[in-house]
Amino acid sequence: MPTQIIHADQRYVHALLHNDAIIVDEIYRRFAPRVKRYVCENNGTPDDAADIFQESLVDIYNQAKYKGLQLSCPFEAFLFMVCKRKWLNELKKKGRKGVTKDLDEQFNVGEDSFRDAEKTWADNEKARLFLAMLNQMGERCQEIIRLSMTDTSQEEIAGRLGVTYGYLRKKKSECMATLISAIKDNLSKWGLT
Amino acid sequence: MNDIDHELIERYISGNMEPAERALFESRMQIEPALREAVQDWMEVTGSLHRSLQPDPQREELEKLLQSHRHVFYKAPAKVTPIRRYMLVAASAAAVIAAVLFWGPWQPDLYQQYAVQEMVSPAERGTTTDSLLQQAAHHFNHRQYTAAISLLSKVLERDSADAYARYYRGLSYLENDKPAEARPDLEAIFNGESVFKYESAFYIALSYLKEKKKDPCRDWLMKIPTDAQNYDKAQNLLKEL
Repeated sequence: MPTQIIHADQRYVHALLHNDAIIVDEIYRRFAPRVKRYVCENNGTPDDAADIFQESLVDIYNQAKYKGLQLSCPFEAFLFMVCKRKWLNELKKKGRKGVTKDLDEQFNVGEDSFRDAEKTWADNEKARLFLAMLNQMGERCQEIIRLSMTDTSQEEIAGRLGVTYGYLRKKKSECMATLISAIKDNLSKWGLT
Repeated sequence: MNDIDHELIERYISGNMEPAERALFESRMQIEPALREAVQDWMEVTGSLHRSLQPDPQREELEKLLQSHRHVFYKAPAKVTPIRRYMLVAASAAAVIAAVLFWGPWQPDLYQQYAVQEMVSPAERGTTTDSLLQQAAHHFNHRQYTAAISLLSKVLERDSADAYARYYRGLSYLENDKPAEARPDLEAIFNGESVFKYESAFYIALSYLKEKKKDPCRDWLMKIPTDAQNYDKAQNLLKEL
């Protein structure tokens, strides 16, 4: 990964990572109105806008915490790109009419920032898809996969479920294969490729 | 990809392969793009689910904090007529609910439903006051209210304007079944301009609820304006009353 110059607005990302109430308040005061306007002028409600805004901030938190996201553009532009991407996809999922009004021409960001924002949205959307597909699986598969995602050892999981270690491994690989195939079937429906 | 391959992938990713078997599997991956891709998918899904399913208390705190700012999206100039109309509807709905509740022995204890949550520990700056507050928060969160009250009183002796300490002392009295002693603290907060202003109004209302005095309880709930964070909560309780 090329070294980028970190934008001073990284402080907002830092605030999300550290639950800084004062800066979060600033984020809402300064940046919420634009997102609200964008969503409301494009077939959405204030409720939709509040959801999109909140989810985008959590996506940025996740991306920073788990993927080391570093801003190379102003926070407002980045947040807006994530919100916009998310809203466009929601519209598509709901089969609502597409976006007619664009408000972000004034943001002139580099390609790196654009890619980072796209990735922030996509990684988090994928995580939601994976969870949604897991939740649709049979009870036994869910139990096995959920337990495997904790730090519990395979032997302990087998003991807890009352099965042999060999059976657990076989069952787990079957469940994972089913899950991955369900995920693949739904990627394009979720706007992911 | 067959079942045997799936099991191999599972073992490869969980690190349950002997070195020789592993080397063989890796050489297969070199020449079989489908296998390579399947391993990558598997790793991506496992990594992502692992992150999603592991508890992240910090993220939960952030979500709560964000949730408390949601009202920013609903700010609109207050209109009198629709509110009045709404109140009429609410009043007639409340009459129905009251009639049902009158006969319904299943109604859970309202006070418990709305009781105080947790005392959020203050950010540490390393001062004496902070350490007192930290200890108070610990006692509060372990439901040891008498101990919390005595620590918070010490903080208030040092600085009687400390709204944070006063607010939580009020709540401690309330949870300690001393509603009458809770009110002076909470009223002082309500009369000030701290962030706890309307939360205080809510808990004063609860203090009356605790004494089964529904009229003052209602009066206090009505003091909470539409743009306060706890407006919905107050309205819900009003309806249940």
